[in-house]
Amino acid sequence: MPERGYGESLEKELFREEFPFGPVSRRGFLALGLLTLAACTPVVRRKGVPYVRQPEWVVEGGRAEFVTAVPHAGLAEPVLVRHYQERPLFLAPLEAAMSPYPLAGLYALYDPDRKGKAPDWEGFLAAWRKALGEGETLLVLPRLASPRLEGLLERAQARYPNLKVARFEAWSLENVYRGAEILFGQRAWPVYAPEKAEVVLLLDVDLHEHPAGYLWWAALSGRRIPPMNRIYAVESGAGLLGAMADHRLALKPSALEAFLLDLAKALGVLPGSPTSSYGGFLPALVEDLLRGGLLLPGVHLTPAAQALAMAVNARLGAPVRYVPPLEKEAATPGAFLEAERAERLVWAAEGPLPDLKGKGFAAYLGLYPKEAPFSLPLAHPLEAGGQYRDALGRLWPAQALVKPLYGGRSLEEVLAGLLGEDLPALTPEEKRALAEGRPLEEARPLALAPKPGLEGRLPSLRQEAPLELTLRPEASLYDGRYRKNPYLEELPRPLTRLVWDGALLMGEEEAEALGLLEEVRARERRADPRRPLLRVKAGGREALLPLWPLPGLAKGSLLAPLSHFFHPEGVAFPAEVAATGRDYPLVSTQYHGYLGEVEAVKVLAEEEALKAEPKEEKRISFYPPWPQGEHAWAMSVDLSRCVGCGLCTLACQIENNIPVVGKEEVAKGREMHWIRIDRYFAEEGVLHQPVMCQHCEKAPCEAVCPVAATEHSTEGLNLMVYNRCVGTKYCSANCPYKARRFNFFPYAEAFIGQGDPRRAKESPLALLMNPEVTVRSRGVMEKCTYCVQRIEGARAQAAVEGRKIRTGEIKTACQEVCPGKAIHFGDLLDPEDPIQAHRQEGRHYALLEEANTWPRTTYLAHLKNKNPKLKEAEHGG
Amino acid sequence: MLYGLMAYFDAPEKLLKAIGALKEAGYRRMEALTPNPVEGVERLLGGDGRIPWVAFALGVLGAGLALFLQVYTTLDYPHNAGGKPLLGWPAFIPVTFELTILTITVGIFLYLLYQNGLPLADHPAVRAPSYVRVLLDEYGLFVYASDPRFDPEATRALLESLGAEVEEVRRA
Amino acid sequence: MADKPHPDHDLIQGEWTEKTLVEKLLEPVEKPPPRPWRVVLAVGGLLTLVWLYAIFVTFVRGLGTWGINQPVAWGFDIVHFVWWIGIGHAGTLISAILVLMRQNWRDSLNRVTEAMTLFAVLAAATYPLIHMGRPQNFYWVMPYPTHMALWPQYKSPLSWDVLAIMTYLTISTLFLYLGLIPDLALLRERSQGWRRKLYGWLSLGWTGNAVHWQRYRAVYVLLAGLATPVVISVHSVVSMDFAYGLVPGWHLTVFPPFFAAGAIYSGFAMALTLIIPLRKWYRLEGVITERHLDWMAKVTLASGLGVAYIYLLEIFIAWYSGEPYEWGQQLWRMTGPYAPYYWAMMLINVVLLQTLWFPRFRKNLTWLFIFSILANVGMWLERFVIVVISLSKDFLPGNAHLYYPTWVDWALYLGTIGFFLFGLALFIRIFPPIAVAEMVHLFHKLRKH
Repeated sequence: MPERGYGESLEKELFREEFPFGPVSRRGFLALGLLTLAACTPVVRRKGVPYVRQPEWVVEGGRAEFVTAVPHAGLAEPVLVRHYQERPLFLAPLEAAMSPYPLAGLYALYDPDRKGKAPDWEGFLAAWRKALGEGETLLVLPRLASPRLEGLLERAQARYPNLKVARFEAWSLENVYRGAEILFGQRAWPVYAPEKAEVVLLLDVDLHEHPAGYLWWAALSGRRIPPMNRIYAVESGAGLLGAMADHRLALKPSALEAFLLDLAKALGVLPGSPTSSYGGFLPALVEDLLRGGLLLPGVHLTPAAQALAMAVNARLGAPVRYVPPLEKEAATPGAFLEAERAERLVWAAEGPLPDLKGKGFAAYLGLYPKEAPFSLPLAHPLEAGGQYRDALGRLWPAQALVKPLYGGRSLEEVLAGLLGEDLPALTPEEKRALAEGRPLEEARPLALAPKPGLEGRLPSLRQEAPLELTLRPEASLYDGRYRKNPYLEELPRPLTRLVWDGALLMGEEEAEALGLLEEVRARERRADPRRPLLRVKAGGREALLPLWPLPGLAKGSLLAPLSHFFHPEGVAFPAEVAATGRDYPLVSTQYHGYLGEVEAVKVLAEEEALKAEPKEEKRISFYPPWPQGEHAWAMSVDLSRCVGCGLCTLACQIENNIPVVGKEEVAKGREMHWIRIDRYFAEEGVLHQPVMCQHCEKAPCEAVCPVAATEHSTEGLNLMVYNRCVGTKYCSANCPYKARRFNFFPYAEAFIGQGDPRRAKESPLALLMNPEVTVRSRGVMEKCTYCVQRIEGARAQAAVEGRKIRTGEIKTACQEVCPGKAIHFGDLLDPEDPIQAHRQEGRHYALLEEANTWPRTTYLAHLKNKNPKLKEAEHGG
Repeated sequence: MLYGLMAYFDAPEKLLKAIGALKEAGYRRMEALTPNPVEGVERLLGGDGRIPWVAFALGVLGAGLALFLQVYTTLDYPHNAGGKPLLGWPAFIPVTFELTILTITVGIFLYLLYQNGLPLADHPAVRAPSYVRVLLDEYGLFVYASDPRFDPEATRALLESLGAEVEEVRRA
Repeated sequence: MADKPHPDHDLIQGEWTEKTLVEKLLEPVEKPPPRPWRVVLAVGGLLTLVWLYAIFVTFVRGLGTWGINQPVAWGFDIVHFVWWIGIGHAGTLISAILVLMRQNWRDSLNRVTEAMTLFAVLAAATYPLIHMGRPQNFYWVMPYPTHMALWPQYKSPLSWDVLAIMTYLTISTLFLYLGLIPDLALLRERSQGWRRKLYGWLSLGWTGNAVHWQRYRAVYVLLAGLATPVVISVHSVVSMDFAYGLVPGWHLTVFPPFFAAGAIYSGFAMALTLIIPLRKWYRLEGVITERHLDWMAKVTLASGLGVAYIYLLEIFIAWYSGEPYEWGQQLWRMTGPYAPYYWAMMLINVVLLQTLWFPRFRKNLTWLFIFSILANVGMWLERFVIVVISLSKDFLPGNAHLYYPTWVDWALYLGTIGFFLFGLALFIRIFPPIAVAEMVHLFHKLRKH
């Protein structure tokens, strides 16, 4: 019949579009085992095509997952995007780990602030072409690790000889490429395999300061349990990776590079002998490195230091290989000066922004509209396709997952528009890679050997100065590009637990020398957030930054965030600091950071952990046990694998519609994060502990609710019933872990309404909310629910499919994103679940066991693998 | 219309003697009105020994009510609150205690009002011109005119002979 | 009759007849009020308006207008709730327990203190209502068949509180009212017009019938007997709000007697604060004598000593138990950022209390008045120490955070004080602040002897 025939053929058409393998039987399709990965690539290019004939196994508005690569600072982070009701709501890492920026970037996707005037692309392109006709027009791009984009750029430069291109990144990788050039005679990018190393030396690098930082931790964390590797850290800053080290040496930048020189000498890479033994640290380190060591240097070390590190790695036979530089031309901060001087400018980079006034032609391309003659929206990474290299040199495809919400275009589209071309659709190879969740190409390894005579051609290392300032990317704001992202603004920063602001970090001695330490400590005690505002002068520029003294920071070393102090000539300078007499309020989420006698975070040595007997959990109760349901959900947190990065906090926030409350409320102690990372300064170093609702079997919170708004399920979950809560807050007072959060104001509505609860109804940010989780009103208590929506979703899916819930099928949000795989959620009644093994380990313990709450969330002690030859406390320098 | 005679005594003993005398003389309808409780009145005019028993019954009722309330509500929608047993009796003590006291209090108060016939809109004795004295310092005896033995002069003479100041109580 | 005077003969001093005594006692109601009364009424009224505004702000804008946070989820709201409930206990004790103990000196004090209890409990009862995050659903703590098929959770001390406060309020009101009935009848007889109607209604038509009096007395003594355990139990139930929790500094079995002693201490102190000016302004020195005040001071001393003992006991227990959290809490109180409040509390409730041992201090009415105010400040500090300081740092060091009250917190507190004063001022204008019938009875007893 005609209709049927038409219907059939249309179906086949759509079917062919959806499934690159052609018509395939359902069984065949399922056999590919790709149900959870990229079940369909959406037909979204220039216009959305609605489902007219829906394939029978697709549920409209249900959950779907897609693979894409989200670039951060130009380098791809392959992610799994979870769609619900046709919009992206969550990101999970596709590879071992990802940084927090793509996940937090979901806010920017729905942010109504991205909406400027209706973008007039044709008008802009015409004006640009006109400017290109008139004279040199500078196009400043961010880091590009996209060969396809480079190709477009070449063609554009060929067509328009006046098109000058500069690449700008405040945090540049140039020193690494140059270091390789010094050592190997060829620019290259090192790709490390830290899981293969027995001993790792971290040189002034933190998770977010290296494109592969989170992947490193994923690799290293696997070896932080027996048989353990040993991590040494020599750093001028105070980073999370350094905090996880077994031995840490704090040296200011020049001293650090001198140390590297001494290390190279000690290992015979350079002639001569080391000038100092650093209190015995160096010889012990050398001996250890020789049994299988790896150096991981930060990207900001001078090219000489980079070359030295690479040379040492070569000498040690470390697990590192070299791939071509990720960027065709390195993006550097110096492009900022070029942009300032240019008469005609198109600025498409991210981070610090030069003044666009007073130019012949000035255009700004970015996520958010700015005051400029031309300000046009770039597409959000989830709104556009592309191809990007990742930190390991592999090329990943990216696909658009929503139509651009505010008329944005990707850089590729902009350049194609300039050329008057159309971008091609997804190629079959890209589609296959996206469906299978793998890169388009692997990195091309370079066969490099160190050229001899390094000592002859080694340029100078870092110069010494009494106070050395390093400008580093801020853990949340990076170089300032995420300033409009409230999720990241309110994510507590590493070690300082600061939110909403950047601070100048200095050691306690320097603060005392300025005469400010005592005042700061007195204010800390009173929970007075005001801190002295300092004027920092470095490299001919200055900035005003509030002071935050940090224990353990190297003597003579100052840290300032790039988001608050940018210098176009580099990131390390001799600096001068002066008090201004003014104060600025700095808000930290943690008031008290010392454990004292409390054994909240247990630290064991590797041998102790191996020898320890699994402690029989003391369960003392008069009461008969309650009946057990079909599952017994529990969670274990491995403190040896937790680096304190805060991705769990962010993921939980996004998954569970947790609002951002703002600086003033956080100052009062009302941040809403369900899972928080407590940071303690202890003898062993800095310790981190994620704390969330422990789902106690004998929950003190449940017993005291007068209206039965919180109760225990048979499967072990402590259930919070939002619609019954009247808000007496007794449960919060009675929780020994203080895991509960109260909505003192209508935070959720205020968050969605961008500060005004009355605007929540029309705000596009409502689309950011996960529809499977209640958005809580004012006066209601909330807390971690073990992602009960995921548990119930899995239960429903299993019921639909007529099976039991599989082992490991349910992953909580925090578990999914943790780079160290520190969090594990499982079923105690499932014999195959690894959680059983965790509980049998010698280093297993329950937090506050003496409170007799019988928590279902338990911890595995932090392990240190100290070098027996380094008995005394390190922290030299 | 004559309601009766109001006799004012200046000492409680005189009042008691007078009551006894009038009872012997056959008067039945009379009321003693005093500014404070007087010992010995219940012997002559009857008291109320039931109050403690009523209170006890109310207490049992209250305790039963409280226990029923808690047990029923706990069993009707049973849930695990803190791993404690569903019918943990120590937890039920405070409410039971308080509700028992509450029941007795309210109940016995209402019983008192009921037994005393309060609230009372009006009473003939209050119409006595110097009635206020019985609320201050004097002890009064009101003899109803409707009493069979009542005789305006004879009764007055009897009362005065017992040492009282007597006045008539008439409708205004 | 022996010529030996009654041992309590000096409880009523001066030359009185029943008539003059009654005239004197009814002066506050029948004569124009003294100037200070107008000041108290005006100040109280003004603060009451401030209070209502602060409640309005709380309801409309949310609990965020207060200073509470994570972890200090209970701040001034619960501090003042406990403070007011504690103050109310003196009235019940004087009314009930002293009756059972046949202490004649309670007769001139019980009316004012019962009124004090009434308004104190009313002020306290507002706090559980307004401190809820969703006060519009406050009735969910009552057991009624809901559409959610849920009932209140009776294992929670807050559910016990509901019953305890309700019972306490009811028994205090009824006891007060019961005692008022004969006085209301007297007032009815002495007034005309609308006043007569008002007192007529309120007195329920009480005639003074001797048989009624017998029943009345039986019920009065019964209620006194019932109110006695209520005095102990109500504040014990309130203390269970804390003792039931495992916060270090809360989780002590000594809390019920601790709170009961503290309640009696603060109640008597507040009674002194009210009665010393009252007797001066209304020239009631004849019926509220120095002996009365001396007795009140002694009870204050006795209960205060109980409180002081338990402070020291708490320190000892925390140290002796070896429990790091308990001992840590004591150190936090003694040396932490809130230490000045802790030491002020110790100064007042332990050190300055000892002055009451000495008659020289007890008889000095200025000192007694000042100390009574200080005692209530000390008890305020104690509740602050217990509620806020314990919550500000409990088990995990990472939980700690300080508490800073906002203007709304202070406005609510001063507002309840205003409401209290306003209510009391109105009360003593409408009802006699001293129980007339009982005083006349006492007068007879003392004279007769």
